[in-house]
Amino acid sequence: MTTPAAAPIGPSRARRRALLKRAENRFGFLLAVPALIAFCVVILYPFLQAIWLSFYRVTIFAPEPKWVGFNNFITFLTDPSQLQAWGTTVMFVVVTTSVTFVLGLVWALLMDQSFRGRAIVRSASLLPWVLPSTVTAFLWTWLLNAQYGVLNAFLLQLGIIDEPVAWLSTPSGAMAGIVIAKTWLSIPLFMAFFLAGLQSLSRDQLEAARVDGATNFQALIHVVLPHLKHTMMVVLVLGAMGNLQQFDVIYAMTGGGPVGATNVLSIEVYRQAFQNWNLGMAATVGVMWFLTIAPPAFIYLRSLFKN
Amino acid sequence: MTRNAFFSRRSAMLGTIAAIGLFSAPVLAQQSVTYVGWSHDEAASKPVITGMLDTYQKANPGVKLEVIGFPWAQMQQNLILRYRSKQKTDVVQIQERWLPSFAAMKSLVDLDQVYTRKALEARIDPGLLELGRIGGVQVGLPWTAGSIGMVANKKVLADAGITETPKTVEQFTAALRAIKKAKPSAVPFAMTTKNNASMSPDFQVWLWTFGGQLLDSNGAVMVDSSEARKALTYLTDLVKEGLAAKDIDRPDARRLYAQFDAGFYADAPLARGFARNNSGKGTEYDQYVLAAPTPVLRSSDAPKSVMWGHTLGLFNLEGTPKADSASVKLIDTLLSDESQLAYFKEVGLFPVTKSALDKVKDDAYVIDWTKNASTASRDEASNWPNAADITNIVGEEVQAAYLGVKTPDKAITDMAARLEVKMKEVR
Repeated sequence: MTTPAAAPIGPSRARRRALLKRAENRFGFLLAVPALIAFCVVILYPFLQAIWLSFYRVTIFAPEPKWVGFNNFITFLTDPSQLQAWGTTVMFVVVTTSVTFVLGLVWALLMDQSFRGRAIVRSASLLPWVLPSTVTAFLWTWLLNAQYGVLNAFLLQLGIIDEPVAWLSTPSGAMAGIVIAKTWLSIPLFMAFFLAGLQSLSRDQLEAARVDGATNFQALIHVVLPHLKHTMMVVLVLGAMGNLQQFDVIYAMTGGGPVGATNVLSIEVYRQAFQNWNLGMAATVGVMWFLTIAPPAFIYLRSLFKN
Repeated sequence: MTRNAFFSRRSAMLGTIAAIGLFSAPVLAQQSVTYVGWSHDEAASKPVITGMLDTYQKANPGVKLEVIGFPWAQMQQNLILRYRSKQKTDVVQIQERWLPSFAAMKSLVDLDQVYTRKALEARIDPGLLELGRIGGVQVGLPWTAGSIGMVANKKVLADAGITETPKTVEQFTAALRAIKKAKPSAVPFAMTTKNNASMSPDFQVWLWTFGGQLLDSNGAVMVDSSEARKALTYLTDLVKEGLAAKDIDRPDARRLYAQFDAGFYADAPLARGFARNNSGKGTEYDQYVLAAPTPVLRSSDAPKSVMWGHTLGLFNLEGTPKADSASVKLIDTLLSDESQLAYFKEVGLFPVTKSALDKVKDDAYVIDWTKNASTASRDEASNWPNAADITNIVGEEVQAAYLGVKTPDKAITDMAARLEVKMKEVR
């Protein structure tokens, strides 16, 4: 047996493997090209264009954009109504996400129990998610209407109130209204995530906890919730991002009113762009909106890649 | 035939076809008209406008008519975007309050150049032509015209023992109290208390009634006045007293009115059509609909209202068309007596041409409304390119007073300060 042939085999194999790897990488890149092109055209270019616009005064009536530096940002940060929109957005996101999170979790825990008709209740729970969001918004507007709303009619019938209450006409009432509508709309999605997480929980672990004398509450705190930790993170971040982007429900229910009480950043962008025709200012609000969305998005992506 | 001969003959044929296509293209382009509007997509007016467009198409079989519709709320932005991107747009339906913006963009043809002033005035009353006249240029022709004026419900008034339509603010307040007393669940005056686009013009009517104004002709803010404070205090007191209600927009007011739950509200001449539909009684409901003048402070004052109307204009993307062009013929069809009277009959929108108006002179509703609208003024915000900003500021501050978030005095002070900032950008 001669070994000389063995000597070149090693490097040639390694070279071949490297070549193969390189070819694989190239092929992988080629496969990603269509998606990359779509990303650049649909997301990256408009995003960069929006950043560019935010440094210009651009109105639909003006023929040419005019460079204004950071003026739009200064206007945003010094205009009380814009700052109010920012604050309102934060409040809406925090309250809606928290309430939906808690109710979605509770509902998922209930749906995880075995009882007669569980399949029907589970399916029915998805109904708000299936309905178009504007339909949901109009339903809630009708329920809460001061003159012919169902809620007022019900409360008047029961004698709880003496005269109709204009629920959506007070700043706090309108905020509560949009939070309730959005929560109702989002609970099924949150529940679906939690339910999927719960179904991957080992029953043996629960049994072991019970054998050790854990009560239902203790089992929930020490077994179920730690198991759902990653799901909770994803749900929380995705929910917060979804609520930050919320437009249709709020616009259909209150249009940002009364007195700007539900004017969130998404509505402000629309108002600046399509009512005031001030595209530069709309882009500025959009950039500020992006900066608000960026931290939760970063946390989400980091957690996604880590796991 | 050889292969080469076949190909050379085929090439010649293709060349001829291409040449015919090239030379005939401009001819074909002249024979196409693009109409952009919103009313032909609305349920109430769709059948009648479709009929008008069919009439045009039958009379002009060689013209390719393209009809594009957008909802009213998105119409202005879509028209601006179409003009900016130079998309073919010939005849456009434009709300009267958008005209100053389009005039500022110099996007509309001067219709005096197309028809001549004399011909237009022979056809439409000069007072009505004003609706489409901006800065001395006839940028639009009224298609239907009127005002946002007061409508009263005769039955609600009669049930409250009111025998005469109130003329002064004092009489009006007394009438509202009488209605509330007769029917406590009613909203005596269903004035708009939500939606800035509704509240702003409605407030301006009362502002003018009390002698105030928002802005002067140079854009100086004039609203910080005792007259404005009196007007807003009066309206806020109506809400406090339960004579007007919170959470009311125009559609809510129309429903309340049709159900005999409102004595008065402000609307366009379409009010009668809405009452017919919302009551489910059709024309039978007409007997209760009364076009009432807006109350005045002194009986010698002229009643105030906001000018309202739909206009027809021509975009100048392809220059100024001739009087016998396909697009001008379309406007003529839409303004013909036949179209105008059908529109009035089916939807309740008033005609504008002298000849068509003459044919409805026996309708008391039209006569009363036209009389009340003779002193109508243009929405003050609409004269400025930042009309949306002005409307939002006025609406928000007025609503803040109605809801008790601010006192009327503070709301007017804040309104003036906010308007000052925005007007500085455009003066």
